[in-house]
Amino acid sequence: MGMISLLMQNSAGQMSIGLAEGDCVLFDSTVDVDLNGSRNVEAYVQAAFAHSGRRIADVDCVFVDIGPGGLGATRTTVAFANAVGFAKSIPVIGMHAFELIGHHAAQSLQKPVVCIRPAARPNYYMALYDQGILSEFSFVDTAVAKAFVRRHQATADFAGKFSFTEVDGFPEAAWPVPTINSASIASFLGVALDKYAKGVRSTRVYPISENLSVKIL
Amino acid sequence: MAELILGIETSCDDTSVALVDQNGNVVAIETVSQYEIHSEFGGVYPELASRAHLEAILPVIERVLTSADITPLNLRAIGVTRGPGLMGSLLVGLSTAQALGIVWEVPTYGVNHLRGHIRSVDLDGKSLDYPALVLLVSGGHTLLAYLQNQYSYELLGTTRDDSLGECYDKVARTLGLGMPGGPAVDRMAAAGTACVKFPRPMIKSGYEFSFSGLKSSVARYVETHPEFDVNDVAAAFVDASLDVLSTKVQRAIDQKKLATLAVVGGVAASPQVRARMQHITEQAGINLCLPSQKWATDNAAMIAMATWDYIEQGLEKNLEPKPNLRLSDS
Ligand SMILES: [Zn+2]
Repeated sequence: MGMISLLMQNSAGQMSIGLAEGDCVLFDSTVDVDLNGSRNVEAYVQAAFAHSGRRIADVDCVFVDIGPGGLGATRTTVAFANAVGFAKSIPVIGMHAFELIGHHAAQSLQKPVVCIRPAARPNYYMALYDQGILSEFSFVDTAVAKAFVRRHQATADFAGKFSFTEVDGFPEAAWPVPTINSASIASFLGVALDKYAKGVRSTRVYPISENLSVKIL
Repeated sequence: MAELILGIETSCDDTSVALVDQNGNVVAIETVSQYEIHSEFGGVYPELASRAHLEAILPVIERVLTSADITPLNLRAIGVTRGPGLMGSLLVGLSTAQALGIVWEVPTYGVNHLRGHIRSVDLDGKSLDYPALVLLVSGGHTLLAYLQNQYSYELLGTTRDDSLGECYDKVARTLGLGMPGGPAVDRMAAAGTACVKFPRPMIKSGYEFSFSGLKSSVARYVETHPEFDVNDVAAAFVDASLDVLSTKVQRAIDQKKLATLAVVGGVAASPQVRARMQHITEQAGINLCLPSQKWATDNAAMIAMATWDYIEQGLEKNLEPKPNLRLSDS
């Protein structure tokens, strides 16, 4: 029997929960249930167990999205994941949201992916996801984020969320539109198992924006 | 072993966890203060508060369970504050409690923090004589409630703007005193004379409070009287706030049949408040109940204590955060 994983994603402000056995998805809240955008973690988790016939006691590892993204939403699932890990003495592994959305976007597009999300105004988080590797992750102001997007526009695709409206020779309509802002559970599971195979283990994780060491511009 | 409730309180800037039995005996408690984190901001900074809760909460829970040698099997329920309080801080406590409840298969209740303050008087195995009037005065709240018995709450009045504790802190800053402001203002006031007459907002009728006008009057006075005497201004401020509190309390004593007056919340530590309430209750021939200082400020023992009421009354297990929860809400 493969490892039972609980997957939690919330940094885009829309919760999705998955349950998997080995590399097989047992439950995916984005297709299996209609929780009407509920923000109650328990409702999602209970649905996961009810639909999969498993119990929380069966879970071997929790993978949780640690952002960057919506801080309140991220913190809600992170607090939940940490407590599950504590109460069951199982690992809790933090997943970088840009790895999740980068991986998801790259699977279908076969191109490098620029991952970008708004932070506290007027700043952005951004990074480049290419061939399974996340690089250039940084916390930047709008001007730097714009330059980054323009630099990669011809060669990359875009995931996350941004809206640049200023013209400066580059009309609003000319800015690229991100294809996705959250990963599918299947894609999340792929990144999670890869991390696990590399030996990543932890018992407590924190939202990324809270321990970002990059200087604020 | 007696069944226990695990109480979790993260509504503002303290992470507190406690184990309390049905008789109000506090088997274990630990409260981690964020005082140092926020002191440079001159108030609670919500983002930092919820981040500090996230870091502290599980280690505190672990230490409390270990110190009392308790396993989840000994838990009758988990009670966690769902409001009023700061959204980000409430969410950390609620999410944590929710997950623990699911894994341990223990019922988990979202508890009204104000009910916790009111039940703080019964901690340490005490029990309040009813009917009772409860004056809750702290940095977060100012309210007067009438309790026919332990379960029936009637809110008589609350503040329309600042809490009294907030007002104390702001006056302390105006007077150049350190934080926490309450004890500093009280100390200065004890050495001064209330020779300045500050307004007594909303004193004439009803049970509602308002303190922002009093706070502004102190600031205006200090601005326009550069030679002011700190002790005298502090004394005049304390005198004005005490007049308001005691008038409202006296009004309730006159209108209701009471066995007890209980004063709870951080401001209940004020020697001046204690002395004035002592005097009023002696005159009226009713009991005065002042919980010890450790239960007067925000703590998880009072939340656990209130959770017993939720169980006994069969109240809903609602874990939805409500930053503006009122006393009448469960
Ligand atoms: Zn309080």
